[in-house]
Amino acid sequence: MLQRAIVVAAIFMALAVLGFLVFKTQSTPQDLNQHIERVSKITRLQQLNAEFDQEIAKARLGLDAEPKALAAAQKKFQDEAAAFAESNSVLSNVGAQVENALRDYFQAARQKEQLLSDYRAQLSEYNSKFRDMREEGEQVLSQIGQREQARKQVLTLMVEATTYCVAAAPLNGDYLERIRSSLADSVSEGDNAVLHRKLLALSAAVRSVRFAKDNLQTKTQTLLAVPTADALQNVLNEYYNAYSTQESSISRYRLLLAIYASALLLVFALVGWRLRYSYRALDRSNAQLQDSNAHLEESVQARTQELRKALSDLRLQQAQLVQSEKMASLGQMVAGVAHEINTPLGYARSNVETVRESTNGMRALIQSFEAAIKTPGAATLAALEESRRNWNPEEGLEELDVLLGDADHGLGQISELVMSLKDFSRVDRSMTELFDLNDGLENAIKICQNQFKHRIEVQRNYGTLPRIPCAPSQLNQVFLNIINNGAQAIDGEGFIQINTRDVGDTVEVSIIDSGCGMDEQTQAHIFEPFFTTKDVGQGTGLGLSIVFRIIEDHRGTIRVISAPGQGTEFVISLPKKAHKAAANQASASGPTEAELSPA
Amino acid sequence: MTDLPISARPRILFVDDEPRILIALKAMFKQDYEITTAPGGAAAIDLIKTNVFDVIVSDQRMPGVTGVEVLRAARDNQPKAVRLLLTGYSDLNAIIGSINEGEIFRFISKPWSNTELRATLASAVRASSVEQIALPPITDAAGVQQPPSGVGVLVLDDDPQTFANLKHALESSRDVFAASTVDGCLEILSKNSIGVIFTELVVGGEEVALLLSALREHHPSLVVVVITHQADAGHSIELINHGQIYRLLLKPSSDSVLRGTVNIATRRFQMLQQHPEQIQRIVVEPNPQLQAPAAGGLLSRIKKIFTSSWAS
Repeated sequence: MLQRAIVVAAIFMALAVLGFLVFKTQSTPQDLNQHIERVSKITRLQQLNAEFDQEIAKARLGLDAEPKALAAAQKKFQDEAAAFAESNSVLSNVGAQVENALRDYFQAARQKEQLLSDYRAQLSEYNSKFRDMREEGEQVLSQIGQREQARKQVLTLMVEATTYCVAAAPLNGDYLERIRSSLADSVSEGDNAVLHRKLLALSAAVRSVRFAKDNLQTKTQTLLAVPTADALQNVLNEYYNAYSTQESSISRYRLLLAIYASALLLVFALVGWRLRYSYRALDRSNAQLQDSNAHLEESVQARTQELRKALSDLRLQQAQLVQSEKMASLGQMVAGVAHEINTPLGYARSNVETVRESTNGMRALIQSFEAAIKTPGAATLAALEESRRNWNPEEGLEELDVLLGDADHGLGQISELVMSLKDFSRVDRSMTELFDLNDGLENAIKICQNQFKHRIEVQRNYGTLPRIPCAPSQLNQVFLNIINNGAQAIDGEGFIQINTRDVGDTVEVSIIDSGCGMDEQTQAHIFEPFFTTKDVGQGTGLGLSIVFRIIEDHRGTIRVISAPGQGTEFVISLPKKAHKAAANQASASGPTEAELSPA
Repeated sequence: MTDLPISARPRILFVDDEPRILIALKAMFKQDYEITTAPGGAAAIDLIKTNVFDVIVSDQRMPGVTGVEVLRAARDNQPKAVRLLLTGYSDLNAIIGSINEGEIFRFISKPWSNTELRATLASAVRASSVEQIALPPITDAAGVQQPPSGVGVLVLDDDPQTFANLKHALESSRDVFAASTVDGCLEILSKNSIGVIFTELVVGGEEVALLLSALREHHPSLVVVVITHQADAGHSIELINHGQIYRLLLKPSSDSVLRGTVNIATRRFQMLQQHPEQIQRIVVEPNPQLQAPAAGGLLSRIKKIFTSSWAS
């Protein structure tokens, strides 16, 4: 999860860097056309500015007409500058230096504009002054008449004054002044007063023209000194600078982009190679998976078949084992019971025979008595004595009593045993029968009797129990098994204590033996099938597992309390009321029963 | 019912954990024999160690010390005393133990018939009247083992493995013959000197018990060892009471057991050959089946064999 997040973040980072680099290379559109347009605009502005300056310089030389060319140049320049100012956005975002240069230029242009109007006023004044001067001159010349000297002087003055006006930098100022001052003297007042006045007026006009010209000259100098051309040049230079700076930064980014892109490409190639490698591995394992998938079905089927067979085999074996456990405990029981019956039968039968045999002696004695009574005499008395010796009535009758008493006792024992056996082995398949557990315990004790003889004392602490619904033969088996185990656990002498009590909803049976007891590990396993502590062949290890099942079928509980050397207590608790499901289940399940029933 | 002097009467020990049995037996036999009773195995062994008895009759199932243990102790301490087992039920292990370890004379089952028991006890008393002779030592004075030459061993079994095992165990130190049928067995018996016979209980679908009874009648010194894989308590009791078999082995038996059994059986045969009166100690109950007409052929054949070859 974390790894995936890291990978996604790395991809985003790589894309962001790529985007940044692309933006950097594309941020100021490096359109060559735009660049050319910008440069050409500035160049054209420079050109116009130069033309304008030329016209300004030319204008002061034009003496007569209104300076139309100047106006045209000014107009053109103004239009271009306005257009340029308007479109100066094209130069925005180029750089602060360029903008500063542009501002300088616009400032200079405004200054030039202002100066220009002043200049034009000056120019027109200068022009009118010059016209006045020429008119004065013509009038003087028309009136001068035959005064060749004066005419010549006036003409020279006019030529010099015009020269002064026409020259960009007139050098003839002093000469002009000398001519002008001497002009009035060429015609004396007295000679011709009118002419003299006219001459004085001309001189004044020349002087004022010269003054205007000098003024205009100064203005022109000032105007031309306004550094629009420099400013424009500066703009161009700054633009070139900015352009090249930008160009270089862009080309740096481009290089960076190229390097980055190739690095990314390399990484992609690596990832691709890895991917391809992984895909190949994936394909391989996929193929394997598909292969095993295809086989899995088969093997699962085969395995299922095997397992099913093994399960049914196991079930069969379990049923057989349960059966053989039953037969084994039956065999053991039969052995015990046979011995138990044959012993009393042995002495009972023998005693009866002995008694019958002794009837011969009795009969002989009685006959001797009868003979002695019928014919008393020494012979019959001797015969009587002989009979008495053969069968002593005191001893003999006492012995008869003992023997017949024993025989009776033996027969009683046999009938008791046979009764218990009958009770014990009764066939019951349902849990519906009401049964007193004390009776079951008593039966089990009787059957185990031969195991106890002289060795084990049975202590009975029976409480009064209600008859509970159960399968008596199964519970008898349980009691027999536990009591038998207890007897086997006792080496030498000991006791088995059996307590029963009524505990509310349940009936509790506790069977305690004074045997060897068992450790916790053994206790944990005793109810498991096939667990046995007996020697091989002595027990199937199924006894207590069957006990456990029977108690479970009865919805009861069984627990064991034991410690090595401390004896063992089994506590069985059975419900007083029948559980409907339990009753059904007990009759339905129980392979022991099922096995016995004909299929 | 003759009253013998106290000292001359045969001494009999009855062992049972049920006192009423002892009372009954005592009531039966007190006129004829000197009776001692023991209420348990441990008490019986104590008595055997301190007293002399001619016949010892013990119950098998007793708390603590079993009947087999009592009889084993009797064999070790009083080999002369004839041993009987009186039992209501015995498992096979107890029976095999009483045969091999107790060298028992009879099994008597509870409940008994007084008449039969009297007869059995009488025959036991007769057997005990013959002084018991110990088997000859396994080695001579020089300590060299002396296999009794001429005592052949016959194996009667339709499973050839038994013969192979015995042959292997004996390492061809003796003549071993094999027969897979009763007829084959008789054939070999008629032609060879056989002292010990190892036999299965059923050979070729025929029960061997009758043959053994017949052989016992006509060739009482022949030592019989039964080797079987399906011993059965009832069968085994018959084999003792009517056949006085010497040992009962269960298959498979180890080489050492086989070798030891062959050695002791041949020595017993040798002893019986040298002391024919010892046969009295192993007298059997007559087998009622031998009186049946079907057994006639077999009997006459056996008679012929032993009158021709062994009597000479």
